Order: sequence, then C-alpha cells, then structure tokens
Amino acid sequence: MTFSDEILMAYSDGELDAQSRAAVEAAMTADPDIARRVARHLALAARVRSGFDPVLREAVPHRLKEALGDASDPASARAGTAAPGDIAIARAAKRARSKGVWAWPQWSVVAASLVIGVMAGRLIESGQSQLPIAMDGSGVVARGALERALSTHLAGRLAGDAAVRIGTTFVSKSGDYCRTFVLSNEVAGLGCRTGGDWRLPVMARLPTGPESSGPYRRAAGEMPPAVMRAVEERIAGHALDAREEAAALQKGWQKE
Amino acid sequence: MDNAIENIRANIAGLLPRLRRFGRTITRNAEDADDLVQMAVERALKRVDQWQQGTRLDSWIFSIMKNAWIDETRSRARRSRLFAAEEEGEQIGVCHTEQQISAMEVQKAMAQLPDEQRLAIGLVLVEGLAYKEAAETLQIPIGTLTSRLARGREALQAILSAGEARSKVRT
Repeated sequence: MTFSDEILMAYSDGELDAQSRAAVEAAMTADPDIARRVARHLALAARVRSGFDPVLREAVPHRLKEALGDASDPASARAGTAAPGDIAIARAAKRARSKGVWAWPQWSVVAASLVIGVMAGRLIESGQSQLPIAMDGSGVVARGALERALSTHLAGRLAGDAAVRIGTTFVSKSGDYCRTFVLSNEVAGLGCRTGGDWRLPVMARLPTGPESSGPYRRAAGEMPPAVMRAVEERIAGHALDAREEAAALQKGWQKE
Repeated sequence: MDNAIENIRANIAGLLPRLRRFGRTITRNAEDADDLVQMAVERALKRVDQWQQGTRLDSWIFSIMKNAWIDETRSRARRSRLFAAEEEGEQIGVCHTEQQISAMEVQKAMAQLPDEQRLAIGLVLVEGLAYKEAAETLQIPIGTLTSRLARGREALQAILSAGEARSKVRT
C-alpha cells in the first residue's frame, strides 16, 4: 500500500484517526521506506521545534509585561530581571542587550540545564548536547541524549534525563541488541546496536494530541503497533531480564 | 467584569514566552518579534470583548499577531525598509554550543521561507496547534494550511540537508 506524503505528514503530526493511524503503522512495518519517510517528518518537526524552544527560556522583556499593565509581576522578580522604574532606561538596556547577544541573552543561566525539543516533545539533559537523531545514507541513527540513554540506561530506570524511557531489551535474529524506547512521552521507537551506532528502524508517534498529554500520563510499556511488530519480527528468543540487560550493558552491547 | 479582565491579563502574561516564540518564527529577528508581541498584546487588551470565552486565548492572540505582521510587512514594503538582515553578522560570534548552532541553523532556514509557510510551520510544528486550529487562526481552509505546511517542510528539509552536506565536507 502506498501513502501520499501528506498522509505521512499528518500521521507524524498526530492528525490521523485511529483507523488511518493503524493503516500507516502497518505500512511502516511492511515497508522500510515508509518508516523512513515518517522518521524524516518526525525528525524535521523535532529539529524545527528545538530551533525555537530556547526563546521560551529567555527572560520576557519588561516592556511586554508593562504592555499588560503589570509592572509588579512577581515572575519578573523570580527571573532575576532588573525592573527599571523608567521606560527610557528599559529601552536603553534592551538596546544594549540586543547588540551582539541576539537570541541568547539568558544563555549562561540556561547552560546548566539545556532544554531541547525532541521528537515534537521536550528532552532535558545536561552538558554537551545534540539533537537526538541524525540521518545517514542508510537510515536514522540515535544521537545525543537518546544515544546515551540507549547505551547507558536500564529499563524503567529514570536517569538524569527522564525524557527518554527504555522499555524492552532483546537480541535480534542477526545477533544485535535491540531496545525499545519512548521519547518525551510522544514518540516510541526501536533502536538496534549495529556497527557502534544505535540504528532506529522504526519510530511511531504515540496516539495523543500535543495538548492532551500530561508529562507522565502514559503507562509504561505501552507501544504503538508499528513498534510492537518491529520487535516481533526481529526478536530471537525472549526479552532480556534485568540481570541479562545489566550484563549486556556492562559489555558495551557487544554481540554475543 | 473587572475580574474577568484581570483573569485574561494573567493568562496573557502566562502566554508571553510562547507569544515571543511564535513572534520569532514569523518575523526574522528578535527585535521585530518582541515589537510584534507588544503590539498584539496591546491590541488584545483593547479588544478583549472580541475574545470568545471558551475558545483558545493563544490562538486568538496568534491571529492578532498574524494580522499585525501582515500589515507591518506591507507598510515596510511601501517604505522599502529592510530590517531583517541587519544583525545577522553579530549572531555568529555568540554561538558556542552545538545546540545553539543547530538552533541558529533552523532559524536561518526558516527565515528563507515565505511568510505563509512560516506561519503554518510556526503554529503546527512549533506551537503544536492541530491543523484545524491552525487553519482557523490563519483564517484559511484546512487544505491550504496542509499544502503550505508540506511545501514549507520540504523547503526546510532541503535547506537543512544542504547545510549538513556542507558541514560534512568541511570536517
């Protein structure tokens, strides 16, 4: 079955009803090309969002609060912004700040806990950061916090960046380790360790609208059918138990 | 009545970070974005009675911003004044992390798209509005919205992939 790009786009934006969603996911498992096209849409959406999210963490300029007739807003005190009593001073300060510090006036404050948008959601991590996925010639690979989580987190354990949750770990028919994950409660996927990378053969959007999902509302282990089917196709034997999982992690996910 | 207005004021105050972000997606620089937010907030307060209880306050203000921006670009075109490119040289020097550079690339790529595609992408991909809500905010049919969204995405993908290919060659 073929799908137009508009349908795949609508799928990745969470716009399809349950039936169409299931049809797209069935197609994703049957056709790696469709899975790749969906991944591309999800990746682009994540990238665009992460490009503008830093704006949310900038201090809101005083003049905007004044425009609301609310000069004594406690939020401005909390954010540590100066509250000049004089509009002219505020304007001058704003001019001075805008020279050379274009979009990142608060960056030093933010640096300690960089917040980036991920797969149409949000992922909090510290230190060096990258986007969570990258494309190469043969598909999609995990990067940044997702790569770290796949390499170093145990199932169910919420480590530093709780935005990535690891589900099941298993050995695939080709002998590679594979792990399911959920990003930001919005996108689920499967990562398989191949050639030193976590390759992502499938990613699917979890069926919630962008507005309706609370941060951790979703039950653990709830995976979209496309991901479940990808697991079923690949799994050799059974899922690893906690001890086997820890041992595989210790060995750096080397093939048996 | 006073109470209701106070309520709306408080809600708008809570929306300010998102209004600024939306401003950044539709204008091409930070200063314009904040000017636009300020203008929209002032207009919204003046016309509070036009907002319908039970509808989304954010969408309503987004649509005020959209209209204000279209007016602004028209009058700028008349005066043939260009603001956007002025600060560009200064932005590069203050980027340090990979994160910042990546965000900058996205913002620059967006800046190359026409207004109508930026509006669609800003509302759907950045602000997370449903297609229907975004179409209503922009006062366009849903099919128009999705085709602008699709074209905008395609263009962004092309610009960003070209950028990646270039940086690969460099390293």
